[in-house]
Amino acid sequence: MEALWMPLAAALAIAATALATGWAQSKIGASAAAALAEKPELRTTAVLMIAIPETMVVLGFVVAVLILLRNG
Amino acid sequence: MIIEMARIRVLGPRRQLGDTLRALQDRGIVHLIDAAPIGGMRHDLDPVARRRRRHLKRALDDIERVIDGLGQLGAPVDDRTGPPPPEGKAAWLAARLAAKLQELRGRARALGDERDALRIYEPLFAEIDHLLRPEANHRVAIFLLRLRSAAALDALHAALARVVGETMEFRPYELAPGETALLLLVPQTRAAEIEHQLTEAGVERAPLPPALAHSSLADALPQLRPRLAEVERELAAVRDDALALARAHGDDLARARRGFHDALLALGAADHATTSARAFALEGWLPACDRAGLAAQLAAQLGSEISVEEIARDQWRGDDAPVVLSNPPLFAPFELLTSLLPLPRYGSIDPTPFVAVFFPLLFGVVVGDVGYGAAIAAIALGLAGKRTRGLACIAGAVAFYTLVFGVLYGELFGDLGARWLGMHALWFDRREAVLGFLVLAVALGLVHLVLGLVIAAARRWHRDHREAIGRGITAAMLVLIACVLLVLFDRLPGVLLTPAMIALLVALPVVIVLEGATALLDFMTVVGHVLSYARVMALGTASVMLAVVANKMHGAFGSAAIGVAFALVFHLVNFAITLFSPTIHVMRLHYVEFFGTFFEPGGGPYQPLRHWSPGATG
Repeated sequence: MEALWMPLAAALAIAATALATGWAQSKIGASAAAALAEKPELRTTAVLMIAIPETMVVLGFVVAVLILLRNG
Repeated sequence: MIIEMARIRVLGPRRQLGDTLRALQDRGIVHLIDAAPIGGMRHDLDPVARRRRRHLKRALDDIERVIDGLGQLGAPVDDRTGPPPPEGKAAWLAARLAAKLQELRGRARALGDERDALRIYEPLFAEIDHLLRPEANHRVAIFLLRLRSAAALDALHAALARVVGETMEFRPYELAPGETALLLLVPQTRAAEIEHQLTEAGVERAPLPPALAHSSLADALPQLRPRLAEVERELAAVRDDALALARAHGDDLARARRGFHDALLALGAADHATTSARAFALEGWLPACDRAGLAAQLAAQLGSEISVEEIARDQWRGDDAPVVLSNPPLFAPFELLTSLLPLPRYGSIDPTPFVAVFFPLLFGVVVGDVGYGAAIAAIALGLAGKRTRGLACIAGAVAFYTLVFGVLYGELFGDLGARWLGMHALWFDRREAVLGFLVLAVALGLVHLVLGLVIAAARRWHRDHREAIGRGITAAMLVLIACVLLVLFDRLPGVLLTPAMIALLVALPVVIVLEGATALLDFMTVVGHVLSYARVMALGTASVMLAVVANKMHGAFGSAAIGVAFALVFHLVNFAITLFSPTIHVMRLHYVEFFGTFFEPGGGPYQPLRHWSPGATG
């Protein structure tokens, strides 16, 4: 049974965090594009803001790897 | 590092204010600010200077317009240095040339419009010449129509065929996508009838160029080709006139432009001065090392009546000083990366040297591939031109670390080195030791943030002992957590566990006492930032796995050639991702995680009074 649940859990760890990151980036990206149209000097802040939610999927990836490694 | 600045006050007789400003402009090192009103002196707007500024601005507008206009007419005026012509003469010349240029540009515009209108008919010229030749059948009427769709063309053809049958000639020419000119030839005897039919159906006549608009079609058609040639000749004459003007006056104009810009900058700088009936005072910032040299030079150039005094450090705030970064040649190119953020506050730490060390290192840890490293090195060589030298240095450093870690990981385009050249990892294989790679990434984060916290503690020691100690203890707590984890994973002797735990339990309340209740939240944020470095492992693993997948395409498609082509494309895509993604993430690790521990933004830019140059603001 564990052989079934472990890969599923790893997939869930990546899928949920990837969706969350995508959703957050869609909101931030749209706002950043609007802000850049008015103030192009905000480009660095915009790139950083867009990169910030990627922490979620990175940690999701790490958790997935740990789950798979535990499974062996 | 941030250069030490000195705040100076320049005092002298009022009659020498202009000369002093020009001398400061020649040196180009003093960032002027509003002088404090001392000894009854005040900011006084001199009406003569105000009038002169108005005149200069008007003349400069004329000069810029003339230079710009000449450039648009194909006679660019290059920038030149040298003594400017007298202001009055230059202003008169600029006004005269501006009027002349306006007339030339008006002519060029009108001729250009006419040429464009004539060129629309260029595809028809040969046909028209053929129809209008002396021996042609003159019992034919010509219509020139404009149709805006293929359907309209078909419908018109069908309708005309019903009226005149096979006696008409129907010759469409595409003018532009979706627009067709139609040359319709019908017997002269049926011309009136066709004319009526076309008018009834609302078919559009092709418009003739403006110069021939009042002529009949019969008169206009023979003139189209000769008129186009004539317009081209007139345009060339306009260009020749512009070139002659540029040759005759370009040198004066370019030098006058520099002179007028400089004069306006000096007049603008005079607004910062305070004056009395007999004296003036200027205040400004300059690098401390240049202060003595400036005083000696002003004394030598303007005499002993000009005095330069340094305002004591306790009379100004660090926040007011402009910031100048100066780093060794090895680190200086990385100012390009720190310049993407606001300047650091004066007196704080310039993060450039740390970025210069850690940015290429972290990039190398992520990408770590001999093949990709060599490709980045090739890009660095390609960027080694004068204008992109800074970028080339950054790319070179990044390439070096990518090559070094590529050797340590034993990777050349993924596992190609292992398969073809027998390469093996000197340190660890990233494809196998995923957990080890994660530990390395988090350990790098730990070192990076502990360094940041130590810098913050050292920096704040003079300002606030409690805060500095708090930062130091936070750094120590991170190290203690690392010790505990290493003990738990049997990497350190178990005997260290209890002391480390006790030290942690003591340190936490001490930090809360020193920095307040938010210290706990702050500590959790720092721990989160350390874990954020796990992205180094995530990106690195993704990079190597994509390279391995690319290599497996060879042989997966039946045909070796197709497999190799797919593998190359996949490697190219992976390389593009490799250039972009790690750059963004490593920059983010610096800007958000590392700088968050010690960076203090808020420095003002250093804008000394200097001579104008093309491309400079103001």
